[in-house]
Amino acid sequence: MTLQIVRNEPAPDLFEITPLQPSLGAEIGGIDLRRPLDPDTRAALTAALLRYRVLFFRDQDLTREEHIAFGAAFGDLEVHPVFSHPDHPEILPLISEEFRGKYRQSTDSNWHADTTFRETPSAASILRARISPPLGGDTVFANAVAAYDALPEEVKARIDGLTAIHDPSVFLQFLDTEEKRRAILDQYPEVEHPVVRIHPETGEKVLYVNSVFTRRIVGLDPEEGRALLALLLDQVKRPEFQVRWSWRPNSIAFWDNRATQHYAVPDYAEQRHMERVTIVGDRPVGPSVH
Amino acid sequence: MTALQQRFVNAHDPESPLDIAPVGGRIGAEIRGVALADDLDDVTLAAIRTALARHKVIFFRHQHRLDDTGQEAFAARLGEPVKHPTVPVAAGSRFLLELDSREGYAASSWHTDVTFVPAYPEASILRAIDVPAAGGDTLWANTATAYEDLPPPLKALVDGLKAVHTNLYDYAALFSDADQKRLEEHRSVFASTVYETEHPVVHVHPETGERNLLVGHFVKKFVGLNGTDSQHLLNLLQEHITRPENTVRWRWRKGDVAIWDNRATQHRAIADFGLQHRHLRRATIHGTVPIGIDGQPSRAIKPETPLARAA
Repeated sequence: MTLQIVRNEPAPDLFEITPLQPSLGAEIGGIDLRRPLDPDTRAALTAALLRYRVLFFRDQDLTREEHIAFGAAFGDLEVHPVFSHPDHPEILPLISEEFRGKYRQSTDSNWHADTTFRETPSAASILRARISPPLGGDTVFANAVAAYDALPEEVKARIDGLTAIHDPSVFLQFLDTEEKRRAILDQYPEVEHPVVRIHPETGEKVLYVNSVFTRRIVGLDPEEGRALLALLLDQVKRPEFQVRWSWRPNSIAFWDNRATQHYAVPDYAEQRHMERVTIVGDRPVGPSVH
Repeated sequence: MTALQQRFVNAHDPESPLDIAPVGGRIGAEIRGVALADDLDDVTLAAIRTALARHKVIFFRHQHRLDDTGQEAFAARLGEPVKHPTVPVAAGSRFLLELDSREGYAASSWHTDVTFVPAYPEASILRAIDVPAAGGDTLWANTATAYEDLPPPLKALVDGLKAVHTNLYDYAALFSDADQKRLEEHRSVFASTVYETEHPVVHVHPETGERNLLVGHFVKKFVGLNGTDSQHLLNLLQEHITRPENTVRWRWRKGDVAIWDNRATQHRAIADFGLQHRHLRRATIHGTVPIGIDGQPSRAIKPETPLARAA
């Protein structure tokens, strides 16, 4: 994803921006995502994404092709190794019934940024609701830049040069044969990412460990490493850094996956069908430590 | 798949005469078309109580006509209003608690109101007088679904356990950005009399019969556990209670009123509103002494004399 940093306010005549919380999140109105994006609108959306970190849209009745085309306007698209639509590989379907029975209970839902098990985790994700429960099934997003900023200075100093191991072992429960399980671990061996990532476009420091894919901090005494990781993972759970989004059919959330984490709230019993297209990112870089 | 996922616990009751719109999957509902006042008819009042027991926190928009006197009068219809045990009442009121901030301060740590006394409040009625343009939301968590969702080994751990709650908690540790003035105020006002109460960790709700986790930030320790183990266990339970699936987040508008069942919830404000004005007043309804699964009630350990000297 190569985006131009636009430091100016997004041009107000292209679409309407309604910020949702002080820390992050804005709803974008007055735009039809079915139509090809002109360069000005694309640049303005990018600027809004970098500023608000997650953009929300209502009533975007996209075909799968239009969803893919919208994503492709912002960069190359990923194909997920485990969840992929049979006819549209760039679409990652998230269908509640298929998760139930495999996820043992709600405690299996957890905070994460997408695909940090990759060497080059996703830059951004565009999630669209096809069927949403009448109530519940929200997604909560957290600002991982604010989460970093609010850490005590002593902790920042301790973690700035550290790295952590991420892996895709969370997916093993969804794979029904030993062969498939081995294949994904072979395809995605453990990867080391900085604990503090420099955002490639804004230069901000981002807290870059998450509860789903991060296994351990490298090079610390195991006890200190566990305690430090637990403290860092708790940081995104503070509501001060969050926005909570209620889905309706054809709602869309478009998040900067390098600057946020999210949590899908498992408090519903009805159907929930979501589809995501995901934009390829680059290899995370930590701060230069002097 | 847990029992909670098989049914929808926060659906509105089709029998209710009220216009009710649930807000979260497990907690919270907006009630429309009701003007809260002391002259509410008995049928509506009974329906509000029923909705409160079901949804745990209920919201009313557009209550602009409710002033201090009206809030107190309505509270007196709902139950027996009580003053906060240590904090003086809001100016000009008989028993309202003042929550007024221009410095970004709010009670941003998860708690159930006043659990440091045995018969802690059964409900609170919070009225928004002035709210920030953005920020300052409040979150509530459902402590009944939190209990129900615990895995069986954790239920077994907490079912017979008791905890000591106190108002003399480590305020500085809880609010890391607290300034000296606020610490001083906490010691000299909020903790001017020290209370300690032993409550069951799981109490049986007197109206719904549901089992609820009863912890929150007034917990000092668990009976029979040392301080370190108590802290770990409290963190573990708080983590379960405050998972997003047990919570609802409310964006305040001027004139909103929230009423919560204090026996079935915890709540916390979000301190993200900077120097904007955030002004609410709370009426508090007297409660009964909680009863554990074993039928044993909570018991008072302390009130004792003022302890400004402890500062």
